[in-house]
Amino acid sequence: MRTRDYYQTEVVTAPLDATATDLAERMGDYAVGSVVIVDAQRRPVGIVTDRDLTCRAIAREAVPGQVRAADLMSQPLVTANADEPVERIVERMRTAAVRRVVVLRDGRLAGLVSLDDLVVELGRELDDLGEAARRAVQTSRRRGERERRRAEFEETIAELRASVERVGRDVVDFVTREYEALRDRVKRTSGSSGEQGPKSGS
Amino acid sequence: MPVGDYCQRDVRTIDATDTLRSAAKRMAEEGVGSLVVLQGRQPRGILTDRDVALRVLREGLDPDATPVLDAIGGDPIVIHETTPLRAAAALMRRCAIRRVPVVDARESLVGVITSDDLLRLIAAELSGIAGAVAAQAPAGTAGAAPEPGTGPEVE
Repeated sequence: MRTRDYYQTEVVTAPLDATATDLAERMGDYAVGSVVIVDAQRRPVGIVTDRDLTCRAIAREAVPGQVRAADLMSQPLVTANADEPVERIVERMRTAAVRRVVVLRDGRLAGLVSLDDLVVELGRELDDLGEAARRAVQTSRRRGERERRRAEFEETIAELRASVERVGRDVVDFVTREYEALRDRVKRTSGSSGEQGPKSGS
Repeated sequence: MPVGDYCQRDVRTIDATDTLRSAAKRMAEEGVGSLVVLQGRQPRGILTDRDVALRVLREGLDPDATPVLDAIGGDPIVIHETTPLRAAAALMRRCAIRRVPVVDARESLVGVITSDDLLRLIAAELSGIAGAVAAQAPAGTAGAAPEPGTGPEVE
């Protein structure tokens, strides 16, 4: 996982002489919580968050139209290279106790990666993992169901075969008995006629 | 898992009639990003550092004359301490908020639950799951393909 997959490339910036009012307007207009401060060569030099405006301007009773980004910004910037692995960025956020890291490419501002962006991305990946697990469970349940049905089917076939055999045996027995009975009758009939023998004239 | 068992109980509060300036000072001094706005013992909402910055600098509210109650939304969103954590996450999602005051049966403040708290809990659970996965994998095969017939079929 590389940082370039996670950062936002559209970053709200302001010059060093932007006032607290300018910065608050940008934060409101673009619905962002921070503005990256750039120098005359557009190199990123600091960052001002909505919290900085409250704690460094309003709490200190600064005059909003007179206090400048240069006085309010946090320095030095916590930065990352676009090709760095994301794990290293997370580690840097932890050690510097910041939620946002400015992404540079060849020393120039390329984007901003926030802890929130990472959570959103992680959430998506977890969602995918959850879906994969759900489908795997479903598949193995279906497989279990198939195997159970096959076992039931085989049992039915075995029972059927057994009963066919039983019936077959019964039929054979019956036929055999009938045949034997018939043979006995035939034997008896022919035997008694033999006993009677040709009648002598009486 | 009721919210009351996991919320932060040590909560910074501010009276509804205090000014935005005093709120900003409290946030700076105490190193917090939000204060629960109280009327008596009942929470009326949460004031964040962002609220203060934008209300004062963008909308031009006078920080020395505006009570914090005027800077927060209308109906307070609260959650009862017996509510399951899962419902807290759903509430945050539905209302697009990250912090919710937790109240008892009398609607009095008992704490605050934040999306960061939930994230920490989820991370701990995930780490437990990851440990279980690692324990099941034979040594040296972590991440390797399952042996034939042991993995779930893909259809």
